[in-house]
Amino acid sequence: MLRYLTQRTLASLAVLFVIVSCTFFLIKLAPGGLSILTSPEMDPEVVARITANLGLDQPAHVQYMRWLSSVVKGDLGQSLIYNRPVLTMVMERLPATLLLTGSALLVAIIVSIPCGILSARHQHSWIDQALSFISFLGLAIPGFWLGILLVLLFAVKLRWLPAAGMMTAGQEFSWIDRARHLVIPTIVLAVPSMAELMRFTRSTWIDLQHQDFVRVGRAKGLSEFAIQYRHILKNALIPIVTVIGLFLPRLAGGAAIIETLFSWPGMGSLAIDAATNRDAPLILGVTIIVSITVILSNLLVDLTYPLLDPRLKRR
Amino acid sequence: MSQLRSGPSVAPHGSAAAQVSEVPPKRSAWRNLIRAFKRNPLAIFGVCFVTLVALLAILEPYLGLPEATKINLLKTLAPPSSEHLLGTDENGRDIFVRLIQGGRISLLVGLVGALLTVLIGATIGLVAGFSGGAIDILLMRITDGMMAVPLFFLVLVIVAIFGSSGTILVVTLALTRWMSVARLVRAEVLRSKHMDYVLAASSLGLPSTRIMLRHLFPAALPTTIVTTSLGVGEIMLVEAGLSFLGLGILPPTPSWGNMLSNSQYYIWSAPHLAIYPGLMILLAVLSFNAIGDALRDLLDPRSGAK
Repeated sequence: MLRYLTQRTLASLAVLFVIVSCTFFLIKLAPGGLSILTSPEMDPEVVARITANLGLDQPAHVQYMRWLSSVVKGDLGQSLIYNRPVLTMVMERLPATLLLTGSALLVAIIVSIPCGILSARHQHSWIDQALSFISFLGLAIPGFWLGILLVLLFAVKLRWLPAAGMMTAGQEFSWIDRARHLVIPTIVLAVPSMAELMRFTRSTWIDLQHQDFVRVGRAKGLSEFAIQYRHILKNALIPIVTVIGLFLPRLAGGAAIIETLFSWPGMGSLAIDAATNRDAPLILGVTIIVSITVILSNLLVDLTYPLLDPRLKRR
Repeated sequence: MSQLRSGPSVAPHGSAAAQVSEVPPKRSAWRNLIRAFKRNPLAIFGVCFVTLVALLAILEPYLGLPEATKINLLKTLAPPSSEHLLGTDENGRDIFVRLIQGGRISLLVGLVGALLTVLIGATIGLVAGFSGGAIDILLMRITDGMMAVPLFFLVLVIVAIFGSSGTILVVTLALTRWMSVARLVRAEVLRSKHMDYVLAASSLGLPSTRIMLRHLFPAALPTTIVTTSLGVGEIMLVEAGLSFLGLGILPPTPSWGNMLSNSQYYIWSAPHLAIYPGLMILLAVLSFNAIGDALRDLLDPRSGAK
């Protein structure tokens, strides 16, 4: 168990190291090199600090070590456009993104797993075909377009839900207001994961129907309910959790587009904003922090494996 | 994403009995192909739709249609007419021509991107599976690591630093999406690596590259074809998203994604601005996914046996 945990943690650290290195080589390749991280409009003191931090006059390997150490120290430089420390700007946006992606993931899990099971248990029935077709559509629909259509329907025509933002202007914060703003972005962000998770749950469940332990269960006269929801469910959860872990990076990427579409003040819209303005330090900072967030969440997913799979506890 | 979809367990449409009888020993590949598509009406639609878009994209210069980038501020948001088949957009540009030209770019980015993705992925998968040992472990660690990271942001970094163009887009997307292909190809290589014909080839002293390309790659080819088809759809979706945000294909070149950029501001007065390009993206991605599914039913014996 302890070995498994250290293994996973070390692997996560390695991935993080590679990401930070990649960002360094990308800016090294950029026209202008590391100097794209500063701008003439910046406070000269800040420019001096960043220049000294990165050692612009030093050879590449020294610059690389300095880049690593300043990232570790949390000094991600200064935004070219906003003239504010990158780390502060990104951290301000973190909660909004966590709220949005978290609710999208939750919606995907709550909707897709039961639908996938339903589909698998009635394979080839009309409900299976309908659900399969819906998930097929869900995989092909561009999220931002679905967003535009939902806004047209629910915000513009029916006026049930707000079209954008995180709260109604001029109103005090309330959870109901926040939830109303969350509905459309959450659904739009959840759709691809929902479709994929439904398909995956279905196929996993169908596969497991032919396993020996199911036959044994039937032979010893277990009720169908016990077979399906005690034995198959337990075995299906491990691959399903793996797939959910693989969703995390994609949810983060999807959030960038969805947040921009709905003016949701998260890290994703900050990243798009930074990329549009070609604000190199800011986009690098967002990328590093988003990567850390995704890797940490993946680590959390990994930690649930020993709970699901007793074999891992013994390691 | 595609490595999940092409798992052995995904059951195809049609009844189980029909599936079992579907792997007969003697029948020409061509007839099998036709049968696989006949069973899957969506795939037939897919082939027709993609062909139509491609034909229109090729023939567009000869059709005598209005110019795609010509701005006419006297005729903005015009309704469909004989001159403008689908009306005009907020700058008075002909929507029909822009859809055709946008389709050209989107198809091109999707196809080239998917081919490049498969090229990178298949090479890494072949090398990893064939070499085994430390090289395999290293390559697979890199693959797993890259799958755990939100690479979309790395694409944004590249666009922010180097700017955006069709070429940059294709290369960056391929560099950030090859991982599932690599894993699938590696799995196929591991399966066929110890077959007698491969052993025979290596005991004849053939060079490794020849063994990989002539004997191992063909075994992985079905998987590769299926992932290419599914990959086209995925890349088209990402391209559309980036172009929508102004970070992909840049105006004035029309693409389905950037045609939607302004549409949300006209959603009330001119909803067709948003409807047509989005519908085209949806149908195109749907088509490639359906074709991929049909090809998998045909080429992947494991999914057929279910």
